[in-house]
Amino acid sequence: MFWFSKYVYQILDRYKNHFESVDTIPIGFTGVASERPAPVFTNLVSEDLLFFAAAVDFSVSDALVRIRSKSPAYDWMADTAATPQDTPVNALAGVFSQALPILPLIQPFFLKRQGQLQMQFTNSASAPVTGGRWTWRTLRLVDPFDGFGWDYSVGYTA
Amino acid sequence: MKFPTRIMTGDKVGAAWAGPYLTPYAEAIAEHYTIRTPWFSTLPITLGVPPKRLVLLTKPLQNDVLILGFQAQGNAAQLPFVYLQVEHTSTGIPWAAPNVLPGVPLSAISGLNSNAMPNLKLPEAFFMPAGTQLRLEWNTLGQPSIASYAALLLTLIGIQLTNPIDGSSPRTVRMPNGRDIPVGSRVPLFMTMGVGNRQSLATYFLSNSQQRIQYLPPIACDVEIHDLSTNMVSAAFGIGTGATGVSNLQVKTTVMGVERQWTPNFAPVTSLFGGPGGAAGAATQIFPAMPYTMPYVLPAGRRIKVAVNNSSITATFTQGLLTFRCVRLCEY
Repeated sequence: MFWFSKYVYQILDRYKNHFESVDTIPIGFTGVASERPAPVFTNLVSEDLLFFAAAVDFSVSDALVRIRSKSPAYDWMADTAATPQDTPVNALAGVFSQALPILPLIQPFFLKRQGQLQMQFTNSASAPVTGGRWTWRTLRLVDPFDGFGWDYSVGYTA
Repeated sequence: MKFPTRIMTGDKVGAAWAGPYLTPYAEAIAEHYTIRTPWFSTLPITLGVPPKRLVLLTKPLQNDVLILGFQAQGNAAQLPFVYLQVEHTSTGIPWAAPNVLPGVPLSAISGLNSNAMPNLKLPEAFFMPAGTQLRLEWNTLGQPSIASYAALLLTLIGIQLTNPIDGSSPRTVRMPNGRDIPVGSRVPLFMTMGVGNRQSLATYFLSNSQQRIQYLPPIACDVEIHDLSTNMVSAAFGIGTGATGVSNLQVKTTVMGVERQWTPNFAPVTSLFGGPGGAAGAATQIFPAMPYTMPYVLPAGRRIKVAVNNSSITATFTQGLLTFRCVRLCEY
């Protein structure tokens, strides 16, 4: 499930230690159909992070999400439509009751220390959720060899 | 013609959603860029009352993207009977081989959101240059009888590629065998056939205690066959060995013109083909597309013979579909 590409190894190689890290974020659904609560953010961490996989603790299929990162700013779901269509939650996140309760990202995402992911959710239109939690499985990248670690300005070199 | 016995590209990643596990072709393209980020594009599709034909274009992208897999959210019982044809507008190469059927069943090209494997990888990553579009042609037919198709969402999942190392997209990439091939010379290909006699526009019917021999269309290029999917491994048909279970169906495949490639006897369809499986709302199969032991290169112009046998003395199979998921090896 957690397969490392050469791109990921280049990031990992810049740090002495890599620690498992799990970040669970309450979504704050109130059980109202199609509601869009205020965006939620991943917790601030003092080290660089690599995001590998996600999970949710509810099973409705038509809840939606839109994800962006701060520091640096990347929109995972760039959409030029006048009415952008958000992405079903379980295209990104495993569902707790399924055979794959954690779903790996097709591309691990690097987030600089003190950076955050912004997640804008839309509740199910047919079976609205109350509460709801999103969990990220990450690696915390600790003790960079050069004191700085990897960054998007460094990038990948073949 | 030399009989191919090895996949020199080393290309074998399977359809299962195993994270950032890329084919050598996809990895070689991605290595041309300094930055990779996750990419998702979700399209709403409204099909309604069948029969219906609908064409949509994806929005042009700001950056190059590698498209690696699909997910569909909708009514799981209906999605295997939604047909999708995909073309890149810049090349016009269709992903579904021209056929009586108007495309590939959605359950063979895309994961279903309720499935044990909700995302399904394409047999090969598709490189989509910035500013270009995919043309998605959707079709529903009158069979099986569905009053109205529920709205669905199709999510394209991939990697956004930014900052190419030399300032432009790659024209060629080096494969593990040391050969340089043009980017765009490996394209997903889906070959679908109905099971049994064709009785009307798209009604396929295999009677009880009946055998039938059918052929896939010959393709002008070599084709790598990666995995097999069928809508018959599903709740609509029943997976077990009961009177109507799909285990009553056996298949035998033979590559025509290649004397050494043959199968001695019929095998249960579930031992060769994957599918959504399970009940309509809770599909169960980890492999909606069952992989070949290793990808098989079907030489250009060759055809695959598929013999099907219904061993049930009472049950008939209606609107069963078999899909071979492949990679077209062509340079245009």
